[in-house]
Amino acid sequence: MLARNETIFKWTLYAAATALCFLIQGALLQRITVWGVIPFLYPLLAAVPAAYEGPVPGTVFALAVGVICDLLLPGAFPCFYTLLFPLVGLCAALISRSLLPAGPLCSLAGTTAAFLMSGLFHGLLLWLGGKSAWSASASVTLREFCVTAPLVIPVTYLYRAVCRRTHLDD
Amino acid sequence: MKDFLKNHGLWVLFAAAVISVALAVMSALSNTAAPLTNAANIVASPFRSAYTAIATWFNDKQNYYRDTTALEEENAALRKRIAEMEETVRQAEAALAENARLRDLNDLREQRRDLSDIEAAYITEHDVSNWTSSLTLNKGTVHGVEAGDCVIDETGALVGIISVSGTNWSTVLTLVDTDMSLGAQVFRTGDLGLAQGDFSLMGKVRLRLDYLSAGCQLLGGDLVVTSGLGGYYPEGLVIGSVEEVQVDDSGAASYAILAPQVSFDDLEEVFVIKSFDIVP
Repeated sequence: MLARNETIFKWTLYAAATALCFLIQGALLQRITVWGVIPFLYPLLAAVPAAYEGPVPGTVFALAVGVICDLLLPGAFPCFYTLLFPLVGLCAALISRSLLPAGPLCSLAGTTAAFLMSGLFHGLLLWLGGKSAWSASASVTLREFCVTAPLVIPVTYLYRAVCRRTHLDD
Repeated sequence: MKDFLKNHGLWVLFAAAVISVALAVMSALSNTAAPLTNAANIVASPFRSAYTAIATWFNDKQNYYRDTTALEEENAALRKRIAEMEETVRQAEAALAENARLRDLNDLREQRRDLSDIEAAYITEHDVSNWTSSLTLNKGTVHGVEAGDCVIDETGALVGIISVSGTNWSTVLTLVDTDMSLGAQVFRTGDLGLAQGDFSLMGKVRLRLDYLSAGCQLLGGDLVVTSGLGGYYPEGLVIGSVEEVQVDDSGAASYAILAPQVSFDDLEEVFVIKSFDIVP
């Protein structure tokens, strides 16, 4: 059990790491187009910390990331990421608890789940809006995942550094 | 030696005096240097040459250093001046481009007197997600920009519609976004339809013109403009041109694939139509 100050410190460090990733996405990745898509880091920011921190804190953190994404990004509907990212966080945390130990492989699995859910939700919304485009959604999801997947490694190591720094006694 | 000088000193002095007088007389009577002077200078001449060579070498080095320093300073000054001039050229180029855009806009204002209030805005961000096609502008509610306003380029071609407007920013959904839907008309034939974004076409920067009659006679390259029906958007703004016409699954209607007139990636500055007059 961490003391209150340590808890504040830990989540401040997580927030700083996430802010850095937001900065990289906005300043750099957004300007790169590969296979017709831009690398999309945000689902990783929900999945990777959750893999290290467990279901409840991870889901809450993912929820916060989702709220920020909804505030900054134009979405299919206003609370798209707020609804999606807690599920992503929960999923990544459950993978780390029951299937794979937290690390690059676990992050990759969580990220895969995140992009699958994101693609599925987007496809579902298009279908509900009468503009069904399942194959196009699947294509974009696949390309988006392939372009973003290499970034799982640096993001995982960033959050792992934060986790190790803040769980010295564990 | 002491004894020699004591015994013969007077003779030596005398001999020296005689030699000096003789040399002086010879020098006065001769046009060339005296033999002793000549001999002394012959001996000294190589040394003089050496001194001169060394002095010249030092002078050269000194001059070289002084010249190099001066040239470096001059070079730095010239580089600075070139950078300033390049900056001026860049500013002039930007001003020229802006001038051209404003001139086009002025022409557009002359042609389109119904577009009564237009606000120029710069694009601060292009697409931020793979699921929407949007632009972020640097103008917002303080500049009178509101959701639902049309955004055009300097030629009057439609870029998109403002979807969200903040204090000093606004988001434009481009024509190819899936949430885009607006009344359109084929300029040549007058056929009416609904121009709307389609996710399958968004990646190819295309949109659909739906609800055309099955027998419509559209040709590739036909210009499609806003219909203005309903009064939501001004009429006659260029959306794009017909690329291909296809019959839908029911066979009762056809649709066209449109290529937007605007190249969204190349846009830097756009114009927001804040208000317009409905032309009866």
